[in-house]
Amino acid sequence: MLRPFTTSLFCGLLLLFFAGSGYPAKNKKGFTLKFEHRVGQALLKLDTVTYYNQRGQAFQISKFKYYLSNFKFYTSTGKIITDASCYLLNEEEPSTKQITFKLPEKAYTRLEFEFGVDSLRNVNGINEGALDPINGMYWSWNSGYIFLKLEGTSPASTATAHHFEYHLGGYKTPYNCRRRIQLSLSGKESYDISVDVLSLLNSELLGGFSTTPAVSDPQHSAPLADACSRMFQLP
Amino acid sequence: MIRSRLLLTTCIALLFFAFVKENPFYHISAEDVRLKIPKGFPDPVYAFKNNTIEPAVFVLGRTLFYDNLLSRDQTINCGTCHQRFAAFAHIDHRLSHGIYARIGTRNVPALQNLIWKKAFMWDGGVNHLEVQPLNPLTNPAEMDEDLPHLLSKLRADTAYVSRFRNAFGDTAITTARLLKALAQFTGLMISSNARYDLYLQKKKVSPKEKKQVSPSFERNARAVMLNPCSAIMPIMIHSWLQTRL
Repeated sequence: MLRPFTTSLFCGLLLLFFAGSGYPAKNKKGFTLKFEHRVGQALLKLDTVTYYNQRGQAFQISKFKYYLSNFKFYTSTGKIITDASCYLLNEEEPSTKQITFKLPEKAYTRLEFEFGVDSLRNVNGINEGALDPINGMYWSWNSGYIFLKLEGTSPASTATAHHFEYHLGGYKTPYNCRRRIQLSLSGKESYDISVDVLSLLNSELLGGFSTTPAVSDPQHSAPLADACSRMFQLP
Repeated sequence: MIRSRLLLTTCIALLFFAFVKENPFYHISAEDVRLKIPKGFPDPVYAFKNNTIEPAVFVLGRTLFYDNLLSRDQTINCGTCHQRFAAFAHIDHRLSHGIYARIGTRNVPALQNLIWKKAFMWDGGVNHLEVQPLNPLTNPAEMDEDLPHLLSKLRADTAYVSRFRNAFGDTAITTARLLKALAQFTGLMISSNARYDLYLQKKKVSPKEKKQVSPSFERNARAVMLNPCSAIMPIMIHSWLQTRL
């Protein structure tokens, strides 16, 4: 027969053991977002495929890269898990189009992320990793990040050699191009997010390749920021 | 005869080493690069947060500043236009020239008290000291480089591999380390003993100089002293040029 003290000690230890195994930090699962770059219904392929915008203008794409940041995962009880990193997704580097997060094992009902780079990282000097200016996504003469680069050719473009070049960015009012994107989740561990460039290219504010073959500053980027945020949808 | 020659050679060698050891150019200590805010100056805008001042990083920044390697054809360095003997301005030039004698549309500003500036370049388009060098480094009319090529040149240079290791602890040569080293060098160019500074410090200045100080003079002098975009700085801080840099 066990003494009361020993029994309670033993039970206490058992309790600790089982309580410990439910501790959130130990149980993190991979949560994956796969970003599919599309032109309407078709998958985006650089250089080789000709697509059409809603004006019937033919085009090919040679470059598509952009920043997403500040991912937030909401549970049904309103708890928020945040990943404040900036990610550079680049069609030329397929591995960048898939992001896996280590999250506590819970049911997430909503996902939120930002198109662009937050203002702090636009003013705090030199940054590393995805935000290193060596990635070609930084305006050195007007300090700030280029949030999105979409380049290619179209016979309709009035620029040299029929190129079009959309370099969109800007963090300062009134030309703030940062946008929040919210998507509802359905309890899975992996989601495909469609990124349709036609949302940007068909924008009335762009007016097609002949009207606007190039954008390269915050002032002309700002009207297109809403169209950029509409690129991101759950299929 | 031989003995006296040997003695002479030994004396010269000793003098040489004594001079070298004392010359601050060859021996930068932690005290040399300690950030000293001059009395009466406001808090700096850039206080070297995330860029702790170390002698080895400062010396790396100075080496980079004066190294032709940083230009595409290896003919010019930062010091070519930011002339050390002229408060790092480009005197006797209407406009500054880059590689291949390309003339731009600007003359370089003088460099001092940069850590008190909120904006850089003539139009204020650059918002942080660390990212300012990206412009002269990559402008085709200036040094005409691009970051991948520039970093590959540094990585191929064994002397730089060694300097970066001394400065940062490992041999990684990155954009951030390059720019932070330059920020330590340029940021420590602090000027605070011009004649007007001495007046503010209540030190002796001539009666004629005292008469020059009117409210508008004080207003403008403060603006000019904290703003290196002025060609008259070489004259005003002539005395500073005598000191260690």
